[in-house]
Amino acid sequence: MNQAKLNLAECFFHKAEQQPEHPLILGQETANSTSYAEFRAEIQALAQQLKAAGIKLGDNIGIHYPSGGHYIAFVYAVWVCNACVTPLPLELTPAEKQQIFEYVHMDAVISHTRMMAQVSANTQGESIPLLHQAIFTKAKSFCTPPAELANVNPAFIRFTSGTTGNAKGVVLSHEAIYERIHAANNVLNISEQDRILWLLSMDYHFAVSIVAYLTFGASIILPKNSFGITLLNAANNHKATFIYGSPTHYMLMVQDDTGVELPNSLRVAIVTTTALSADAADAFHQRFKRVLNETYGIIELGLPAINISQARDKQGSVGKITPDYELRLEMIDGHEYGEITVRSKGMLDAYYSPWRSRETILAEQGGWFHTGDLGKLDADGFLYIVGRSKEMISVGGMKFFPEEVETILEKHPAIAEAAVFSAKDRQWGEPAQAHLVLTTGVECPSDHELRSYCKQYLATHKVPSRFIWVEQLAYTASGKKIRNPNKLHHLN
Amino acid sequence: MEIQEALRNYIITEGLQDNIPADFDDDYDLIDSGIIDSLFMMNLVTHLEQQYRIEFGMNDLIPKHFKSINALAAFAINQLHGK
Repeated sequence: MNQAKLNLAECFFHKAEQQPEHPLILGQETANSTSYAEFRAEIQALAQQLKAAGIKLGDNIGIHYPSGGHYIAFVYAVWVCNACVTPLPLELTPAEKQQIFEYVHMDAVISHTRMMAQVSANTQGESIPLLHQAIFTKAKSFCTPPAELANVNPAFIRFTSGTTGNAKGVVLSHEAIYERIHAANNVLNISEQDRILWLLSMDYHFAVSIVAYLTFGASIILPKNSFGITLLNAANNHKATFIYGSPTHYMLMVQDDTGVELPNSLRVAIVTTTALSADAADAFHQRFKRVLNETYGIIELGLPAINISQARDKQGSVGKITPDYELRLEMIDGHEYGEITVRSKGMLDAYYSPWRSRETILAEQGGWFHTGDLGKLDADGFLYIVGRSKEMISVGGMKFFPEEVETILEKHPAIAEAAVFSAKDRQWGEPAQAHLVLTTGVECPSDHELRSYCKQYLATHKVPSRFIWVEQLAYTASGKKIRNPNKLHHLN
Repeated sequence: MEIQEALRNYIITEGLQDNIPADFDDDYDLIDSGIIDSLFMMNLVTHLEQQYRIEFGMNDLIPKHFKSINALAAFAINQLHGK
């Protein structure tokens, strides 16, 4: 007899059965609330619409919709249909969205009506209206799904542009997500007593966070916007116990000068998406007399380390290794740090294209997932990240790799080579900057021209804020591009 | 094109909310109406920085500069003149 496969939507329904009147979604104001039972009814109504529209077992559905309560409902409704979800982040350009369709097979798209034009080149046939100003349309087929996909009970396929320019979708099954949320909750202890102030894009953050909140019965506060005073008021209106945000969001709270404090109910303020600078951590502590808690999050692994310590001397650490994870530092001769390698049950199931299963990935790497990041442990077992192999840039919590921007820049006829790096000199974001080498014999384009060119292919937050022309880029002895701007010689 | 008109066009074409009126005036409240949500706020900042070569500091990301098209235009013009 076949055992029924795990479905995360069933986990939510189970919780909704236990606490139907408990609030799940909380808006900016106290009166604005959706209960677990109301949300369950919304998911079921959407699932009925999706089944009628033709979604079936094994389909993959693109979600092209703003973050919020309805976004969560659409994801869960797709799961009720035993189909899988691929996020299509709204801020990407049509060309970037096209790339996702080319790498990840999608059967249909759920899009907000207002943004449908941005994906309409990838859809075909009749548009079926759904609830909440959404429409459902079949997707054109640009590639075939890997045969192995059907064997892993997929919940999410997250497209990542990869660090080498080769796209890789990360496949996460219902089982892998279930494992990682339980692993994280051994440390976070999220329960129905928690009210979580949510500040991030659900296209990039969902599997270890939103799913955990719905499974463990918490309430999610969705503020109206990201101004510091709005976030503080939302936290106070609902007596938030937990905040999940990027350094930018915390800095927006710090700069608020109205004197509004964080509520006493707050027990953890998690920082994710990018490393927290010591200055930002100090500024937050000075304003709110609280410690910000960093985590070590990797899409392939979940949250292998979480710092929940309120001790200031542990500031800068991503915390102890989460109990269900095993950490091994592959020490580098002559140094006190090593490469962070991890293994756990909640690892990704596979890379989508080309398909590489978890077993293959681990077999290639000696049984451990090699993060490429460098870390060290202190005497108390707290992990500190001392170097990241992937030079990821984060603007307001939205991450991208410099290689992605460099690839576009280097297609411009005037650009021979490009090196994109993060300008970490301001508090609220890390806008990209680019060092460019001019193609011999070609006239140098203006910044305006380059900006317009980039905007055709790249989401706004990825377009470099400065273009700096240099004689040459620097490379390591092994030929790896050095993006550290201090090692370059400016033309002027 | 004057800055207010350019801003209105940007908000109409790039705004993420579906409650954007077709013909709102330059004092229309962009925050209370929900037009400026978290994602659109960051998009708007990046757009203004790139379009007018101005820079938003941390202390500039406050409601009074985003309240209306007139408020956004005044901020941008002040920044431009301050250079």
